[in-house]
Amino acid sequence: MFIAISLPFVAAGWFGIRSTTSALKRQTELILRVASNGAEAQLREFLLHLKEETLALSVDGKMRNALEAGGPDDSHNVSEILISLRQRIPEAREIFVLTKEGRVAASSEPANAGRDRSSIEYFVEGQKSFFAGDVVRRPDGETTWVMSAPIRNATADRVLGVLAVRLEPPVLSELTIGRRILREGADTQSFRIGETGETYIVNRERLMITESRDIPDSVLKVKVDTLPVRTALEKGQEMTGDYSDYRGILVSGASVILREPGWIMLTEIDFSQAFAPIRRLRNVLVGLMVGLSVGGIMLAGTWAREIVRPLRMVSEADLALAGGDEARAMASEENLPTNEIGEFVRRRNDRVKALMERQGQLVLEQKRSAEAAAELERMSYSIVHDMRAPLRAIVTFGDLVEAEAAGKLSEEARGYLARMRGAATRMDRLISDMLSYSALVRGQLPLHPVNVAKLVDGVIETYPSLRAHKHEIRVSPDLPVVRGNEAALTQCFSSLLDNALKFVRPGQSPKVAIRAERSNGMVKIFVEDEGVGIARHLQDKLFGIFQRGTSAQEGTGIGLAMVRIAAARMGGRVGVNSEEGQGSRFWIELTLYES
Amino acid sequence: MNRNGTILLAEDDENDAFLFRMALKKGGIPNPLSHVSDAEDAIDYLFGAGVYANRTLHPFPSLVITDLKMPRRTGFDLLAWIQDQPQLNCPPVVVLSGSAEDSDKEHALRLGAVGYFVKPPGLEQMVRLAHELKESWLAPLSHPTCSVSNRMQQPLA
Repeated sequence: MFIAISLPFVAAGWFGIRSTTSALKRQTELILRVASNGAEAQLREFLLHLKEETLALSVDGKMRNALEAGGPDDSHNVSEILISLRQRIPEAREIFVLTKEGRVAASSEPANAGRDRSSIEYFVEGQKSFFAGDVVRRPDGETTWVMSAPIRNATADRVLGVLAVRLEPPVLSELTIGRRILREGADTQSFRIGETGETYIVNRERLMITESRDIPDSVLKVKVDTLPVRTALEKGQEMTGDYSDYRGILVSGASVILREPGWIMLTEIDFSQAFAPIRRLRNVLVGLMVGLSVGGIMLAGTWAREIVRPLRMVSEADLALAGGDEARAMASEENLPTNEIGEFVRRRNDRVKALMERQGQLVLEQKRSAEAAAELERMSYSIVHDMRAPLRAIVTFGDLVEAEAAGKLSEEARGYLARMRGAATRMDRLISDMLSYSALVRGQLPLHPVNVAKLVDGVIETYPSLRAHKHEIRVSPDLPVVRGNEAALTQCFSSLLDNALKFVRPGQSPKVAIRAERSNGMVKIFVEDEGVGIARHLQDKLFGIFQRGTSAQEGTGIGLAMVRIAAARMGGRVGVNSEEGQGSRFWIELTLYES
Repeated sequence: MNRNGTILLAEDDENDAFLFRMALKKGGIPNPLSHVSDAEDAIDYLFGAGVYANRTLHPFPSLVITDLKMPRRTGFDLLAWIQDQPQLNCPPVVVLSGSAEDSDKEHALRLGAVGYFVKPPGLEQMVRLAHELKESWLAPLSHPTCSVSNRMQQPLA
């Protein structure tokens, strides 16, 4: 992520450096070109000046006359003339005249007179036309540079001799390194560029003929075999660009070819200086980037260590907790930072730990209380069953008394006996109903398709109290198949029918009807009677346990409560519509079974 | 082994034992009844151990009727013990209990009981039950096989 964030910065920095570099390069080349042009102009002007002066001397009338006069006696005269002419070329070291034979006829340095120069280039070439010589080292070690021009007779049809102007290389160095003040008073500093900038001249032998900024006494001692020199000598082309100079150092430079002496003038600036600003900029940028990167990495590291890692561990622990894996529900507190995040993780762990302990206690308590409840239930069942034994004894021994001693008892005593047996029977039923109710509430109640018509027929046939009223119960032929539990439904319909038959109006025989109404996948099964009906205020309480509509009729008060519970457990409902004195219509709503 | 159709009744409640005897009498069922008051004694009886060594006085039963809830060892213990004694030649065992719990009934049948009856309230019903027991398991005085009958009577609630 950090890399993604820093990438645009790096790109921008790189692009900035690149565009600045190319701008600076153009700038540098421009400066080089300007400086080079300035130096070139001065050099050309100087060379031209030398040429013009040399040519002017070669046609000087006095000298020509002196030469035409010939004769060794005149050499003194010519020398005099040369000395005076030398004023015209202050840069010249010596001005001398050679005879047709190549002998120094006269010189501004009289000591040189008579020397033989017939084989030297400036004499050979100088006989033909103006000759600009190269800077060379003489056998005596002196560096010299000679220009020459033929001296012709007045009609210019005969060469009388050669005029030579000897100069010395420092003249050039003065020009290139700016010490020379030109006659025109031009600012010679203009072509010096910066600290490392220099202008120097290389001759045809690829030797430096001016002084170097860096190497003392460099004239004709420094080989300059660089790219612009080769380009000039081999292709005759000038160039501007970056290359290794004579010191092997990368420079930006421009070359100029001076055809007359065949020299190459080079204006150069060390690349390192030319591009110092860009390097500084780059350094600043790189420094900035490195700083940013290090800062970013440290920040990311800190971030990862102090924020992301703890949060991830909390998240994992939460997942484990949600998945019920309590062993991994605590986030590791190893290497937690001491900041708010660390505090958060620790608090969270404390909280989770407390909750888990509490939950563990609750589970334990729940288990204990479930065990206690189960034990209690088992015990109460056991007790309830035991309670039935004495009742059985009362009823059965009562039966025995009835069977064996009835004749010996008074009518009154037999009545007492009947009441006793009745009460015991009722209590036995109460207990039995209680057990059924309890089984219905806590037991399993698997749901299956149940054919209600068949079930109701079975109930009527099985229960003696119902079978007795078989002909008073009208069962509609279209009773449905529902989704329910057979045992529970058996209990429901036996209760409802029992109930319907029970509350007859005095002096009437019961009349009960069972029918069904289907709607929206549900079915309401009605059990209607024409009995005494139920007062409105009692209807709501009817389905509560131990609620009896009346005390006049026998019943345990559990039957309708069981119907309600059973219906609810089968996903249905029960209800009643009744008017006092108008009979009652009980209904149970169940889910239709779609085969 | 002498089998004269003796019924062994394991029942801790003296009233119930008395009423069962009465029901046999009222129902005219002549089979002798041996009564023990818990499963421990029933096992001794079947094993012919201790006081029950005399098979003339304590003949090997043709039918065992047991209550479930008894002191010392329960009816379930008796059923489990009988299951582990194939050499006893397997008198059928019928449970006669005060419990109408499905779980008790299922448990008893799993342990090899051939019938399960809930003690009825009233002499008349008890007589009817005695008849049914006789017809199902004592009709030929000596029960030929050990076939398990699933005939059950579920008394009305």
